[in-house]
Amino acid sequence: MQTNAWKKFAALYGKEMRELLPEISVVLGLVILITGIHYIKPGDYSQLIVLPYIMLAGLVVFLPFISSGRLSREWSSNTIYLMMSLPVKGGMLLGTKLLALLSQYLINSIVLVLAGMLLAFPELRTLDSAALNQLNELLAQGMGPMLLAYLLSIAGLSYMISLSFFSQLAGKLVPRFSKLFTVIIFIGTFGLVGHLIDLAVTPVLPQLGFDLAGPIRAAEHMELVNKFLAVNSLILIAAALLLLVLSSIVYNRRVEL
Amino acid sequence: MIEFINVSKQFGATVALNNLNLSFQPGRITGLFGPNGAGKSTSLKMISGLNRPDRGEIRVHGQAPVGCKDSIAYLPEIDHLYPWMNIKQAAGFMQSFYADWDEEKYRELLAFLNLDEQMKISKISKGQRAKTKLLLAAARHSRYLLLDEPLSGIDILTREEIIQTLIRDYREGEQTVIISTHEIDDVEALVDEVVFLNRGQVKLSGNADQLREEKGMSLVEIMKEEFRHAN
Repeated sequence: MQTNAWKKFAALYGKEMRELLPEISVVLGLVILITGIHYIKPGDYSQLIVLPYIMLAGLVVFLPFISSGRLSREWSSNTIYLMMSLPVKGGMLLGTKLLALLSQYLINSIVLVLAGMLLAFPELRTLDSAALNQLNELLAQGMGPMLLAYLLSIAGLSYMISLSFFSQLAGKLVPRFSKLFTVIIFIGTFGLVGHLIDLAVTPVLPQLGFDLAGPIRAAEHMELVNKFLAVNSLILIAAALLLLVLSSIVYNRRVEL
Repeated sequence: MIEFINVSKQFGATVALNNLNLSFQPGRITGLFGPNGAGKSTSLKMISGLNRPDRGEIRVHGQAPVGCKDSIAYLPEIDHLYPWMNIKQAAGFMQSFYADWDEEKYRELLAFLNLDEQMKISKISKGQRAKTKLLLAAARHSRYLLLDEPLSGIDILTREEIIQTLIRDYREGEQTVIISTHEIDDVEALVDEVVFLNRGQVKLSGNADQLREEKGMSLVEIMKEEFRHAN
């Protein structure tokens, strides 16, 4: 007699999201603070707000990767005893952790974009109709690449988080100097996967239309950027999946307490 | 039935289990006794699928332990619950994984153990945490209940509550209970079978009543006698 796999998945995902709540809240708090200052004291701090906003954007991108180190915290807090005694495989356990970290990124990045729009709103109101039309045109042209760049950031994060999981689990196989081995495995795997991607992708680049040695015409430029972003996203998603599968195998077959 | 067949396990230079052959009688309460480092906790972790043998095999109901985690309720010695959860959240979390979770039994045990659902794990005493762990393990109709040092560092009144819960809740013939403990006198009246482990091997095992009758002494005295000679 077993419970529904979705029920297990939802319980694990809910637990992960609850654990990420303080970090999500801190980012939301900072966004509200920056936006609030801009609206309460318009003009006074307009220039000063740009730098914190960019730093916040960096935090939003890197925070899920930093939070992926929580996997090791299951060991230090002994909750790994609970996790490993549950009737779930590593794939579900790590999958929910990855999904929660990506959710953290999605929530924070959407809030950041909305805050950016709010910050830009007073400036936009001063533009005349010709300037607004030009801006609309630019946005319409750039929407595709921007969405693809966002997809690339999700793919890149998935890859880095999976790599972090893999190195932490592989590090646990070495009881002594576990942290040192985690770092070595992380750097080694990062280099190895990068090299493998280079080996696999470089020969097929011309077939995909990438002829970086040749001249690039302006009309082809946007298409090339889109293709570049899409291909890189797919490669990173494939690498992330591979590392997640490897991590699951290590968790299911090698990790013990 | 739980069987250990020629099981060996080593952690670095330390031998935890040394070619252990052992079987636990189904539907009975077995006390797993022995000094520190005898291999009691390792044995329970192996049954729960948290450790793997270096050599030999373990069969739980004819299967490898990893395949029957949903029929095992494991209560480790350490605090393994998420400190930010309250008892209600911890129960909800466990309920999601086990089809044998019994909500009515959970409510009864909650009242019996004097616990409040709103109590936060990080804020409660060691005794209350021990009772919470027992509550979450015993609220299930699990085929196997494994208790690793459930009375360790707990005051006498809480120990009694835990023992009473085990007596009250035990389903004779249906459930196999294994209790690993140093507090032999506390569980003396509870166990049907006993296994004394020493350095990863069975030193003595058998029916508790028969052993007491044969040797004319209590289980605590038997252990002292056996291990005094061993050392």
